[in-house]
Amino acid sequence: MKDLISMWNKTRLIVLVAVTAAVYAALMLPFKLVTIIPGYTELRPGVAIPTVFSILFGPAAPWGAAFGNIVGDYLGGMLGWGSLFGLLGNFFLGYIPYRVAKPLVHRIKPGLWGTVQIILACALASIVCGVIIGWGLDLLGILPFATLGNIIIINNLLFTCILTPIFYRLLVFRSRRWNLHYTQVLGEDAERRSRTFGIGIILLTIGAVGGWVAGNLLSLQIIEGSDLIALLQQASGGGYFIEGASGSLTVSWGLSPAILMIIAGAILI
Amino acid sequence: MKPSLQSPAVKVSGLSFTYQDAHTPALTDINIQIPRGSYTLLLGGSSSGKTTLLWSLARVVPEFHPGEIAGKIEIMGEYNTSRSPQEMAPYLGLIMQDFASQLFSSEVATEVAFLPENLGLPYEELARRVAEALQMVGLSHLVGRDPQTLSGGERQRLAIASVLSGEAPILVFDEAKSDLDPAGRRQIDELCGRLCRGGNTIISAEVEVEEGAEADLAILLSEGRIVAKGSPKEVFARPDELLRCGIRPLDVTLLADEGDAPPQTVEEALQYLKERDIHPHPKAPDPKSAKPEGEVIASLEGVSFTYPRSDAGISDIDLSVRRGEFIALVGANGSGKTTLVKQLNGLLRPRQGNVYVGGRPISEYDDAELASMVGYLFQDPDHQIFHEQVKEEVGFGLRNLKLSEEEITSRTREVLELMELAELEEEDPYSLNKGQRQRLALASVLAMHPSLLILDEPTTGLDYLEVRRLMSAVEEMNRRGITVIAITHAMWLVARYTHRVAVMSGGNKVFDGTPEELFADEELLSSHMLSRPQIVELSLRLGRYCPTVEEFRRTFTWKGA
Amino acid sequence: MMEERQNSSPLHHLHPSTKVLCLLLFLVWAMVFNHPLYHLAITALVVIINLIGGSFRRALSFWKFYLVIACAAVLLWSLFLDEPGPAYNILGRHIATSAILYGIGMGLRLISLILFAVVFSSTTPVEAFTYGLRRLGLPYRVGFSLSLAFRLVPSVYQTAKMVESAQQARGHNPRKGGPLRRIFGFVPLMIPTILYTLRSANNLSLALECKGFGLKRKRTSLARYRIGWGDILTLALFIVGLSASIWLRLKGYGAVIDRL
Repeated sequence: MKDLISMWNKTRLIVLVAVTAAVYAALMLPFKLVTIIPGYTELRPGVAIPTVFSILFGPAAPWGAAFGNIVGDYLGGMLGWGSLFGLLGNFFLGYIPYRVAKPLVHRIKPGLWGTVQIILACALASIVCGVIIGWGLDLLGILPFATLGNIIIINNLLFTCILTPIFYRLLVFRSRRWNLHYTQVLGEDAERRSRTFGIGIILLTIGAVGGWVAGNLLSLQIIEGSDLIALLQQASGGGYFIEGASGSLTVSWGLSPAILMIIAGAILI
Repeated sequence: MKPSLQSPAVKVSGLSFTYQDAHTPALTDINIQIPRGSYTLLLGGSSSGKTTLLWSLARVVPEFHPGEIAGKIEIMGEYNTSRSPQEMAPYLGLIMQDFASQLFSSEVATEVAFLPENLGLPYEELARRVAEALQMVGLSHLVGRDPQTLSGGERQRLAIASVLSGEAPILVFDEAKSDLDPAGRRQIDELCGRLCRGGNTIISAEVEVEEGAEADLAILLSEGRIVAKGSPKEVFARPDELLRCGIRPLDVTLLADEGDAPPQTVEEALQYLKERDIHPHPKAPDPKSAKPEGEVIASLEGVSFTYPRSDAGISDIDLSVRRGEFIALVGANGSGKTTLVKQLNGLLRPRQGNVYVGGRPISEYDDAELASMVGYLFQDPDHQIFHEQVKEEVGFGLRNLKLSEEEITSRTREVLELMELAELEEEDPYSLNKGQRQRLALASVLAMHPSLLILDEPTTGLDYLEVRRLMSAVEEMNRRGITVIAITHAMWLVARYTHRVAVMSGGNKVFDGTPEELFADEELLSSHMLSRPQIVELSLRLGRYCPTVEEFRRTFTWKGA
Repeated sequence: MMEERQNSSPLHHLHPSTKVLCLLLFLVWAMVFNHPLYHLAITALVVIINLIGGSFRRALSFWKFYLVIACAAVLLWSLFLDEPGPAYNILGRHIATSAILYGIGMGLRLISLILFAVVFSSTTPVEAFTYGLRRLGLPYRVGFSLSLAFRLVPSVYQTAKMVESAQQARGHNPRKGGPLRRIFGFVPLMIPTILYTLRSANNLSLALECKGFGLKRKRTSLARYRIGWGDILTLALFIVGLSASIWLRLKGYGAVIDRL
């Protein structure tokens, strides 16, 4: 987590933040025409940029992905609430892969197990990103979770899982030659995994998958918010959840434990 | 050399440097002293160590590019060892070749203010420095403009201004002219002269020598070692040494006998040769090379094109290209050369007029078909390279043509051998040097067996040896019947290789004829900032046209020749 | 020195921090109501702001886009909101009038947010935007990186176009074929684009360090913006407008359904 701050002392990583953002924003442009929900999301193969840059450039990628989202929205004249949650969701999209795939840092060719790790890390990051954005926009009553959350997650899964391993293979050797790999800039400290990685990854996975499933169930009103709240109250031995919350408040309250788990997991990995 | 009572601006003693992960040193035992207020020319081919030497002065090595360094460097009388590149900024300004990547602001003034802002100077001082730096490079009138909207030459001058505002006493130019047209180069030369007269110490790294270079000192580097040092006159007088180092010597220096001090200007050469009783060879062949008269394989008829939201483009161009021709396209940057050739491979479609390739209108071809007819080599090879292996890279275009695997393998082998890259076929293209990458890009184009080959400034950033290697391959292909159109600023290339030359200016074709006709037209040359190669100038003064030194030797004879 | 911009409107002269604050206030303001009539009023206000800022023409050029947004919002919310009260039966689905009204409100909300973003980006140069953010507490390096990102977008785009031409000249067209072919077709486009950009990024980092970027000194700035009466007035208008709207909503006005 510390490297997210300490990277701001390194010129190369500061520039890489901008590069990630610019490439992310620019490569979305040709696809702007294939809009799924206008103004909020479109078919984006560019989502593979934050994930592959994450594994290559480490802490520069989450900032870059977040900024890329702002830049894209600003240039497209779309700066709004979507940008705020987009910023957060994309931050996680760029953050999770390098934290999860850390043991790969010294391997130029990732091999089969390495590729599987990259794919799993990307899948996790993709779901987290979609859950956060879907949750946020549902919370504000802008779009229902079941539409946007799902679209983002499926789009992310499709492109990050297919394209990231391909891009990684083609980019890793070359970026190391230019001393751009984050471990070359930040030194050996950046290679170590945190001691709480295990628990972090469990929390993150439960939060992500649980959030995705619960979000859909709540949003499609397959289960009522009050059912879930009652369930949670039972589990926690009585609590202080708002009773009778409806509409988007259901999703927002129902998903908040998942969001908390995601945040806690992200801090721990 | 100008007298100096103070410590030298730069003093390098016993400097050696090896990049991390490299097997051979980039610099070995460099010793130089550069007096304050002097102008130094640092000459060397592609991997001679010029850039590394400049970087070591600015502490870019080993701070930014790590490696092992030995020896001492004094800048303005102080050792630079404990400093970072940032801390060197007030002492030494570095201007790089790739100026586009040095500009990042949305306004000219902001760009120039960046360096002094980092130094924490007060507002009034910032404003003064910005105004002065812009005035120095002649861009004061563009103060509020977006740098992206400036021309190449203006952007390079802006990049210089953005370093000048640091008011460092030493200014270092690393091949800062190589992307510019002749007019742009002249402006930079004049600017350097002015800065030097104003008291700055200038160090300029170059891959070319120029007649009458204004420098006080010339240093010739090869493989990380200094091979010659002295006044430019002394260094230029060693053509063989220059050639070995990848620098094209002055044409006329190649005419002298061994042991003679070679002439360096056309005037000196005339005197030298007249003293030796020069006269045309009795059996001199007709220097006019045979112009191919094959059938027309591509033509433009009344073609006009303008870019959206811009005045740039071409208007009403007629051009017909015959099989086997080698055509040069010259003219200032922005004169429409690239726009013209892009009509021929369908990258741009004309607003008006018709384009024919192989006798059919271009609109009748699909992408793959056109790509196999018209090969296009982009200025920067890195725009097209993406595979992990050299041979895969060559095979990419062939796969788009849906050829059989055997055909792909045999064509790949053939072009890689022609380009002297066969031994590198398993390598990562990005591990090759610029010259090799350019040849790889050419190989991938040639593998598609085009009948017309277009080269867009193919020699930019290459040293003379690499240029010769690339151009001999092109010449060989031309001899085998491939038609070639090359955009270039290098007039010696025009003289040496081409049958025909077209001059572009402001989107119009203002000349179309043989190189001989072009070089004979003094008015046209000067109005478009084109110049004659030394040997052409000399031979014309002697009443003949010789495009190369070899041709000159065949045409004329003199005592001792 | 900074006054020589070609476009100039009263909004161009506002302090960047004022504009960033107004943007933030507007983001909240747009969320207060969900009734289409109230949103119509807000949209009208943003249109006026666009007229003052001289960006109305640009804003208008997206009209097709607004239409799509409006239709999509109505459609989505009508389907997803199961509200009591009067309703239509369309293709066997129960669709509440209030849900349709809510959908229209949401469409207008999106349009007004976009309109505001258009006037903001048209009247605020990138440097001013990041300057405004810096004045509101964003660290210099973060702001620098953000504005650099803006500057790099066109060059990345240009590089991508150049690469596309180079690939096209070798018979490769990434825009042809089915969706899967296209996705894989973009690998040859993206790899050289990224590598090219990375190489320039390396040169740029070097140039930045040689220009003293990151020196541990207090940085000064050539850009000078002053807070004037216009800024105070604008901010006051936004704060009053937003407070009044919140008050109205708390009093029960401006909502079709009791949600954001």
